Amino acid sequence: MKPSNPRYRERLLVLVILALILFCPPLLLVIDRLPTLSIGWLPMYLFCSWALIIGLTAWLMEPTTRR
Amino acid sequence: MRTDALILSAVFGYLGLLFLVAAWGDRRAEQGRSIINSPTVYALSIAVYCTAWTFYGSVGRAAQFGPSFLLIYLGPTLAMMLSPFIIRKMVRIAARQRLTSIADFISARYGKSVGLGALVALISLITITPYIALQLKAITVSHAVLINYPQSADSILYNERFWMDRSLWVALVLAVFIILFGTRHLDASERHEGMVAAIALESLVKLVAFLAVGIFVVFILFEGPGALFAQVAQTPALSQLMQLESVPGGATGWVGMLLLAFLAFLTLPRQFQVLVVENVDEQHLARASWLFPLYLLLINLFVIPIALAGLLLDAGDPDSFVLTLPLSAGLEGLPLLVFIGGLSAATGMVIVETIALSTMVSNQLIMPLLLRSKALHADSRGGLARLLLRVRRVAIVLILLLGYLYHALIGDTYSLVTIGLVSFVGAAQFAPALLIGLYWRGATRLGAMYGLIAGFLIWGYTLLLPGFAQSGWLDAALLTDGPWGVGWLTPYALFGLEEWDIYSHSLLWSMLVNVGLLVGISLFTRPTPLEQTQAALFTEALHPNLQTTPLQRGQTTQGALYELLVRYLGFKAALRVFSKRTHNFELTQPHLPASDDVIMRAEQALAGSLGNASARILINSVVRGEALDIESILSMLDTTTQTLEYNRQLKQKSDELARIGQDLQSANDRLRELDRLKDEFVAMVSHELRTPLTSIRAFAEILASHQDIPESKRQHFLQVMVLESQRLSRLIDEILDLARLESGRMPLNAVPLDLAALADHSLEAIARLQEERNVSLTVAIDERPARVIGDPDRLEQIIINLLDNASKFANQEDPRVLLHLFKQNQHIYLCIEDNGVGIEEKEREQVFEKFNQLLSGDQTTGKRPKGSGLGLPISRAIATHLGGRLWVENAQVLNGARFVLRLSEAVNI
Repeated sequence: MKPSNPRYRERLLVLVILALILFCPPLLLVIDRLPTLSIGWLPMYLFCSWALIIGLTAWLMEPTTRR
Repeated sequence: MRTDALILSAVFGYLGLLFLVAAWGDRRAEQGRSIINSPTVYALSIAVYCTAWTFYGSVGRAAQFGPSFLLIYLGPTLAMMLSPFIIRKMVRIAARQRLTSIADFISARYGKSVGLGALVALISLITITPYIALQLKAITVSHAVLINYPQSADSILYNERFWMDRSLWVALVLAVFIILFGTRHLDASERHEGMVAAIALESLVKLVAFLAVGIFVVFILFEGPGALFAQVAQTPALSQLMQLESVPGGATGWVGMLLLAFLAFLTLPRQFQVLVVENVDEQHLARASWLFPLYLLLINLFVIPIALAGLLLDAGDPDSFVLTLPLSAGLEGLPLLVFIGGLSAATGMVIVETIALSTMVSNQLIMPLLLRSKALHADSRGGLARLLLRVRRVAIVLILLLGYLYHALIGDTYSLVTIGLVSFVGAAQFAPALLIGLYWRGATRLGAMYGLIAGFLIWGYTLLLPGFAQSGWLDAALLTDGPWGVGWLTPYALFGLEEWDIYSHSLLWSMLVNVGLLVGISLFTRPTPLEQTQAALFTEALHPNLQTTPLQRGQTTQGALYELLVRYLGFKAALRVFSKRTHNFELTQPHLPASDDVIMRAEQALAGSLGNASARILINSVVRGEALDIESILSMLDTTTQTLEYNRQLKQKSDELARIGQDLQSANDRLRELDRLKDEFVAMVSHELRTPLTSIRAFAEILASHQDIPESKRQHFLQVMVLESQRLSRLIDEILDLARLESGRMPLNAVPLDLAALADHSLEAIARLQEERNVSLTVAIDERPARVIGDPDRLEQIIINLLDNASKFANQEDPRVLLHLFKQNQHIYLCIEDNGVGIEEKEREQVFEKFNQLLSGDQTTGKRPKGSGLGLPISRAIATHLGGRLWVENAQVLNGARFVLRLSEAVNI
């Protein structure tokens, strides 16, 4: 985990901020108010953004792929 | 088929498997081939976060409150993403100080305070016991559902005697398991490898079980998610469920729950145990930071479909949907698998939580009491170690029984999720002391203490007390009218804050008071020296210097230290401390002072077994002089900062040096090249001078030795000698010219003149030579007069030189030369072409180098070169000195080379 890249900490912090923006109300309200088909877009949106964040974290954390 | 015997054999078979795995893990650890030394196993062990509450309760919560259940898992996702900043620091501190639990950790941060450690242990006990009860309840309920379906589970649940309750027996088996694998070593900071291996296996089992039931519900019960959601769309009440309005407290409740899950993930005792204490290698955090969130995502993937399916099919209590849905389809195997999955979720949590709690109880509550009793100090050698292990084992049994009692007596009044979240808010009270203490050196023991007490009281008032009221133990009017009818004191709506959900509400008030008191009191209290030291060691834990510098520990003798260790930890542990370096240790010189290193190891060994606060008390009883004080730590850190700064400057300097070195290298290369050229030049000059000299000398010798040479021959010899002498002096003149030109000492007589006239003059001068060579000369002078400024003699020298060269290099059979003078763009051009072979593009600059044609002539044709090889370099140097240019290009009319002399046109003459 020793960051070889000096930008590693900054990237990680920005990723956490991105996660907060994705998981928190202002954006959530927008998704929630989309016209619904069946059960609404919220669950789908949450799982997709969650998966995205996990993928980005993996990309950042795994030493072999760290740029 | 679902007979009690089958289910019981499955349950105890599964628990037996856990025993085997744990025993195997411990065996491998003893052999030094750890199976938990893997980031994947570490991530799976963190998944002990997913308890029976996740396994059964998530569906129940989704069925009631929509997507809010996800927040319980998004919070930990954020915490794991931040692990390089938070958890890594905690892991490093705990490893360095051999801390064994969150109570130990917080107590160590605030000056190894006994009181604070005891407080944290006590609060943990109170907040977590219901959580253990919840797991036992989940086992009981799921078992009852499995047995009674399709009847309601409640019908037999309360008619049985307690010894018929399976969860009591499960609790007792777990107690045996935990005692076997959780209290093998006295040193609680040593890892429980077998236990962790079993937990990782349990995490896999519950994931597989949940995914299995999810796939069954979505793809077999409903023929795919499309079909399921299409059915849901026809039920308006259900299609509203997954929207934000179903979340208690709306947007505020959403954020509150996210924060709560984030904090609780870091402060729950079992999470601290697996994240920090059982961490084998700091590097594992990198993998776990995304693998564990991925695990959470997978285990939650089917929660919403299962909840919706259960509501559509009206499958009874939402908390049991995962069981009742496959049961309603008439399946036999899957419900059993699901039950085992729920069992693994419950037992995993109970195992880790009980180990964490029992360590806290023994080290933070019992141990300080034991140390105070005089009787203990007179105890025999190593007796305390055995006593402490016994205490820990009794604590394990008591904690499990307490959990069982809670479950049996009052557990029925809460739904699963409620108990879980109440515990979450309780555990989150540790967060301010923990997190602020990690980053702010100014946080003091008193601040942490009062913040914690106040936060805990508010938690009790806003969450625990209303729970009792709902159970009917207290007047229910408390919830509606407030105590004694004081409305603004209503527990769920303090100061009239009614719109919030009860957890966010409790979290807000408790955190406000907790953080407020911690910060406020810290600002106005003075920490003790030990507190300051510990604060610095915690906040600067990732500082590179702290890892390498041994800390000063005061003075004592080896004998005193050895006695202390033997008395409290036994011979083996004492030997381990002393014989790190020397094998077959024998304390031959007990009067010698103990080194800092040994004192540190002794304190660590004591801390790992007894807790850091007790260890400090014991070490202080034999070590004289204050251990490392705050000033020396700060100065050490400052030194490091300075060193880092020096390092940075040094690096900058060395970069500069490297750059200068490179410059020097290239300059040196250039010098070597010049030196080589100079040597070549000298060699060539010598060669050029020797040729005529040799012939002069030869003829002179002939003349001197042979007096009888005929007159005609003598005349011829003398003529040759004169010619060769002229050639020699011309060569020397040229060399001198070149030297003067290159050094800038050539006097040039710059006057206005007509280049056309000069060209005519030069042509006349060279006419006879051209005739001799049969050169046909064409002259085209377009500009007349062509006014330039220059030295007429030198310019004529250039023109003659160029004409001479051209005629020399022109075609042998039909030599032709062209002289063209014209004006273009304020410049006068004088071009001289020949019809020779021309000059290759890459060689065009080389012809202007000294003696160049000598070289090429020798190498390519082997013929004697024509001329000295200095004409062109001299011509170019003169042209440059006169502000003009001389270069060579392709001939435009004839086919050979074309030399161009360009000079600026002189105006106003």
